[in-house]
Amino acid sequence: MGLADVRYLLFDRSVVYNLGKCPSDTRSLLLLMVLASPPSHLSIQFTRPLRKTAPESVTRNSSRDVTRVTFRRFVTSNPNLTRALSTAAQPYPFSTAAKIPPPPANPLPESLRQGKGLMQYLTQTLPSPEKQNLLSTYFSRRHPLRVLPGSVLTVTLGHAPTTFSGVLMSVRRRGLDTSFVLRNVINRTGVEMQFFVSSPHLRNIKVLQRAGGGGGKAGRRMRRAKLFYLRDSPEKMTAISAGVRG
Amino acid sequence: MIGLKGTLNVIDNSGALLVECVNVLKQKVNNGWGSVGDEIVCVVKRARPISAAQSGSNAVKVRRGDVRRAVIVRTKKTVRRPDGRFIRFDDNAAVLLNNKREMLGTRIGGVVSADLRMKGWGKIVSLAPKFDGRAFSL
Repeated sequence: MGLADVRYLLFDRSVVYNLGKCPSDTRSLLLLMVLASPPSHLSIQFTRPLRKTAPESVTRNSSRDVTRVTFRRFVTSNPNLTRALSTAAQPYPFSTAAKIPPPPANPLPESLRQGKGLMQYLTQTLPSPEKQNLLSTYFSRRHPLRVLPGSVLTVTLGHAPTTFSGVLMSVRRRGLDTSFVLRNVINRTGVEMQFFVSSPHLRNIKVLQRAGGGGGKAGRRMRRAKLFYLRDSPEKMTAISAGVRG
Repeated sequence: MIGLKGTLNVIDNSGALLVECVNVLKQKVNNGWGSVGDEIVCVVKRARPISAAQSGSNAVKVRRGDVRRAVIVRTKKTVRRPDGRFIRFDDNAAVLLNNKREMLGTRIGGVVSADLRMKGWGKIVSLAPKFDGRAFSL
């Protein structure tokens, strides 16, 4: 049985619909509609009948062969899920792991096809919104929340080692290729790791201690943008890290 | 980037402290430079004094002037991971081996690079000091 044509309308009335009696492919479609709908009561009108055995809560319209199904949204309203259906990622019928990104909202300008302004367009569209947020706040040049060299960060990765903490030694700002180097001393050996902000493996960045604030030796503003002198002076590293534990 | 005359710290309990690289084995790429996970031939430059009372230990004790093989476990030169990260240690370190690619020592005292696992030295990575129950390799 193929999926019927679906048009969805908004109604005030709501009837709890028992999805267990619905055919499975229609149920998955209905779930998709529910999750994609705005947080109000949703109604679906099928223009062709679903099956001969209809559930109890479905009312049949006698004038035309239309099955009207109304049901109340049973998930809590989540702003992340309330998007119009056209901008949601379309499911790929042959694999659950494949994700098709939504098409761009505005049509591509002709100059972009010739390559004008291509890098700016990629910087705005390629990273996910969370990454863009990171880039525009933590690693920008003038944002009040930007991390200054000398801060202590913890980076959460998607694979082993899961977390890495360290003193921020340098930030290399190149738009999408922005990267930063963290330095830590582990088992009396200094270790430095360079992370790229737009990498999908980078899950989360937590600022344990900010530099540039007032008060105390650890929070003093560093007078350099790149703190490579920390490699030769372990006492300065301990001075910075002493404030973190306390 | 370890080549001829490059010095490395030894971090196992085989008795050697400092080795000097003489040759990098099987390195046709990278212009002959050795990196993490590469086998080198080295000369022991400094070793711990061997007392007769330690003969009961399992580890083979090496002397100054011995020519042995070793595998590089830490480098000061940045090493790129497949996901784009770079890692750099503060010193060069190695673990001594015999001719059959087996370790001479029995314990490892220091953090090792996780690139060893990708080059096939999982045994050495598993001997690295434990951190939260797992071997500590970065």
